[in-house]
Amino acid sequence: MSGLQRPPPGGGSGRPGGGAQQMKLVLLGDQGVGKSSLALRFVRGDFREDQEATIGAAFLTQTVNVQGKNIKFDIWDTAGQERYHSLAPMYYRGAQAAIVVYDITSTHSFEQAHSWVKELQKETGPDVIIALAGNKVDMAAETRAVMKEEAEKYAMEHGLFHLETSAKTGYNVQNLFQTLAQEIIRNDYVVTQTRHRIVTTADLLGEQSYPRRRTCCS
Amino acid sequence: MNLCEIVQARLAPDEKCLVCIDGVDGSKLAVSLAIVERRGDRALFIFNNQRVPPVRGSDLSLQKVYPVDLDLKCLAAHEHNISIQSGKDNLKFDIPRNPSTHDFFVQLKLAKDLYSQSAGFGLPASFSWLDKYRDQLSKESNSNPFANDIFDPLGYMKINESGPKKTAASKSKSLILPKSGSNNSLNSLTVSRERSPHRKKSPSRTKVKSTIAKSASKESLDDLDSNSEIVETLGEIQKQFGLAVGVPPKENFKPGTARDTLIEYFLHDRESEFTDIQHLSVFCGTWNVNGKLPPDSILEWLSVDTEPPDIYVIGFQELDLSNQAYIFSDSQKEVVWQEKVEECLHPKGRYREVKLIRLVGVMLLVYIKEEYYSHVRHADCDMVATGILGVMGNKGGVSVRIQIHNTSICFVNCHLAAHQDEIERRNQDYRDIEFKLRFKQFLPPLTIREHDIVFWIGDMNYRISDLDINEIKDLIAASRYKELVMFDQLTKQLGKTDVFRGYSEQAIKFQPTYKYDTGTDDWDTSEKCRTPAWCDRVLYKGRGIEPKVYRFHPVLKISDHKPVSSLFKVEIKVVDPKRCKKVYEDVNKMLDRLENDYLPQVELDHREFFFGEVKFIESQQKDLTVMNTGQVPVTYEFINKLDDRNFSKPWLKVGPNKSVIVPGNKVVISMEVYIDKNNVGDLNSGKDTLSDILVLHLHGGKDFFISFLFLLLNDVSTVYGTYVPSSFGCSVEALVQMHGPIREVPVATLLDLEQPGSLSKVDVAATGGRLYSVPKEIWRMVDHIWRYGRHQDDLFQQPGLDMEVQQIRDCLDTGSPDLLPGSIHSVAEALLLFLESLPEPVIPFPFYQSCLECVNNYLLCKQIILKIPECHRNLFHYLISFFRELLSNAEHNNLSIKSLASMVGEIILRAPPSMSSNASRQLRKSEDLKRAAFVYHFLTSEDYDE
Repeated sequence: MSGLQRPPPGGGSGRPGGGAQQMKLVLLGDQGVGKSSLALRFVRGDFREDQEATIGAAFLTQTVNVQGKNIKFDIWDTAGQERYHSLAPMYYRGAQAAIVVYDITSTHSFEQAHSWVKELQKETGPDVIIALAGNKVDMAAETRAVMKEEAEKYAMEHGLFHLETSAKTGYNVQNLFQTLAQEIIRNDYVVTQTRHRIVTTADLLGEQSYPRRRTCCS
Repeated sequence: MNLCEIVQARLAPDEKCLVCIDGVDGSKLAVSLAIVERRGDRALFIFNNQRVPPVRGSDLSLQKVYPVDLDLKCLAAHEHNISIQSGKDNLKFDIPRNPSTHDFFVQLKLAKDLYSQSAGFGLPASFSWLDKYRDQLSKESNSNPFANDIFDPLGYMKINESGPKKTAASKSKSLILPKSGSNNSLNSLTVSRERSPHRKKSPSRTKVKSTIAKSASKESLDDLDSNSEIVETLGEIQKQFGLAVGVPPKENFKPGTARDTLIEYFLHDRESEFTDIQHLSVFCGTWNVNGKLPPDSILEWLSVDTEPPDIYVIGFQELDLSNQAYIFSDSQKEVVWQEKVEECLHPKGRYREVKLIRLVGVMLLVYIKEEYYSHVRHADCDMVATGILGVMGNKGGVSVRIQIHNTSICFVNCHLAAHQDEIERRNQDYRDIEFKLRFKQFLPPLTIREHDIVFWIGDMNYRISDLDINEIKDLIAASRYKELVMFDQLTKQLGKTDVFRGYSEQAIKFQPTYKYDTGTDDWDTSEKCRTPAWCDRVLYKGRGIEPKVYRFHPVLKISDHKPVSSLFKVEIKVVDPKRCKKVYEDVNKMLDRLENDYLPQVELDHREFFFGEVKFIESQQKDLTVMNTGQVPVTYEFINKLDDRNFSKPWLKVGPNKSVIVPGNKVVISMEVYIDKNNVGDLNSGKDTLSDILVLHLHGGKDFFISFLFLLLNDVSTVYGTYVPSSFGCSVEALVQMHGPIREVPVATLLDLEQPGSLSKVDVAATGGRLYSVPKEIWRMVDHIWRYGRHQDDLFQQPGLDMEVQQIRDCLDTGSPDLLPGSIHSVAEALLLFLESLPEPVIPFPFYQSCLECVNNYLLCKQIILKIPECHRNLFHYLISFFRELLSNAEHNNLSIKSLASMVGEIILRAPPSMSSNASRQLRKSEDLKRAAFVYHFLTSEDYDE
């Protein structure tokens, strides 16, 4: 039995539609790099200087629309303190995407980010999309410690995509999540294509193209 | 009275109707769905509406009662179309789109949540209060009309006849009115020229159509539909409603679907923000042509205005009065009239046909200017016959609906029951058309009411009554239409009754259009001498309609009716895709915010627990207060970390570890640290540390980490916090090497001593032979009992005091030279506890099994003792000698060999941890006996010689 769904009030033309695809996203990184601030900037659009340390794992949800598709992120914002490190797998297991955050004013946090990336690539499947976010770029002029080129080189080598962000100003925050959503759709698309040999002319790649991690999980 | 109050009238005083909506069931019968609460338990009531709309409680006949439990499911294909499932029942309903529908879903979900929560407390609702309704049900109806989706006329009649609350009207109605099956009979009499690939087809329908349907040669609008992005299969649309939180996802569960409904709702609400208004002119004309062939020209009707209208809506009645018209779908008249219409459309405009539909003599034609044609979507049509027996097509209504840009418009042409006095029949015909007409291209089918704009034209046959015919003619002659229209049956009802509720009509400033002698402008001179009447009307409903003219066209004289026409300017909403996307994103953002706001939220008064010095068998307890600061009930639970088997370390007791907190309330969770004989060994040996992190999880929400921290004792022992090491729980090996009290031994040394095999590495000569033969702590207790308690009554049979045992522990651990504090009984208990806490019992675990196997042979038992490590053997002999001495004083201390043997056996011969848990009770009892027997040999044997 088939039938025409009632015309939606939006009239059909130009209205993005369809049910949302649910995605588990985890934020990882050293303490104080701004994981919670990034999540809150993305979800609520505001910023607090006195954002308290996350002791546990905060849960938020946000929908983004990419190429007419809805991606609903279930965001797990984890505790950065070292003593909770051993609990992180509870949150990154089963995640489709991860954002590893470092603070561009702290080389230590960048080193920590390396170990997070290493751990993620070792413990999760190859289909998990990892973004590397250098936060606090608003402080770049005065106290930058991690060079953008260095981070980009590292990201390139490890098949991540890299963005410098500022939760304080909102710079690149939407872009970060949007790009992740795009990657997820593209990932899906690739998987579908290889499994079912569906050839579609849809341009799902968007304007930007990032190196993709396929097999490296050393 | 609103629907809720009407339902309330049917309920007991302690029951409350929370929300009630009306709808239509699978057999197109009007129903009311109500959620009723009684003391927190909620149930879904389904009533059959005996009267539409119901006005009092007795208009509702109860059909079904379902407790809202986990078995009840509400599936929504769309917010207009839901199916309720409970047990074997699966009922489908069409429901209107309005705020109370939303309330209904919210309440239903809430009710389900509440049920699952109370069930989670172990207090599932019993719903016994529904029994009285179930009894009522079995009396009210013999069969269940909802049992399946297929209409069963006989079943329906049965219910109506047996229903005690039926009225005569509803009974006769049920006999005369066609139900959903009427389509079959209709099809043999009528034709519609639609060609609809998306139509839902019943087998009978398809068959009829294939034989008689006229093939459409013109390009149909349906072809447009097939390209539409909105076309989806039912499977894709079928989604389950709500229940995202706390309920495991079902197989067909797709997250975010309740959300889609909400998105649609809010988008509709904010439509004006992303649409622009464009004006179109609509010409509506209606003419009862009395079966005549068209005259040479009808330009005088269709093209009298200077500017061409954008849309033509042209309705005919009595197009074909021949008997063949009733039997054959083809009508020559249709063709000639349509040709004439197309010839006489405004010469300045170029038009395309949108739809043509005809039910016997009732025909509706819709044309639109070519330039707008591509903006027309989802054109559909349907018809309802209300003629002879309620099924014949001599009377009835036909309808065409379209969507132009974002505005839906419905056109209805009707021919209602004739004769001066049949006003009620006319009213009923109207209701039948209004409520039965369905555009079936849609799922669920659309009704007339669900359109932004409706134009309803036709020969409605309403007459002028309560006025003498001569007075009427006088008023007409004087053009006093304003006075005359007060006597018009439709005008009298319009806006005052349910007939054409919501519809308006322009002021009539022309003379009645009926009834004339054919070919003249003279009133009917036949012997019936009909009273003049405004039979032919144009009504409209909706926002943004500006009426322009309303007139009749007396020049056309072929019929006994004069044609009527009316012009309107209507507002069409044109979507701006950019703004639409923005609003869509806005709505999504708002929903995200709502969703985040409604996540469970709690506040904890502690994230970290600091404990001071924690000592063996000394409990410390602190409270964690969890306050629900959110807006929804919270279920919290301590969850296991990763692959751990328990959510906390064994020395940490947490309660309650799972509970529900309603908003504004709090729960106090007790956190108790208690080191007992079972876990002290691991702490002494460093296998376990006194630190832990608990994960407090909120169902459907976030996690909290709660840390247990212990003050640091000294710098060396950073890892171990402030567990105060005790000789209790130290191994025999460590104890015999330990000089001085344990509190003075550096923790690092302690750890070395606890390393397996530490004793064998000790160079006895180098230490100057400073190994104790038995641990000094045991010696102190044994010596104390021997000196002060060997004559003590009930020795080893009375319990000691916890406080005194703790003091004895401190005395031993600090090496206080004083006498051991407390009573002999406390010292005795401390001794037993000390032995029980040994990580490796007096007879080490590896020898346990062989001991049990040779209990019948004293010699073999002795040989085993020879094999155990020396320090354990020394301790064993020391203890046996001590107990033998005590037994020799049995006349004072009342010790019996048997009870002493079983007590000592239990302590010195412990089953390895790997074995102890899975032994059956019977097996354990026999082991107890064997252990006692083993010790018994040594306690009693004449030749015991250490």
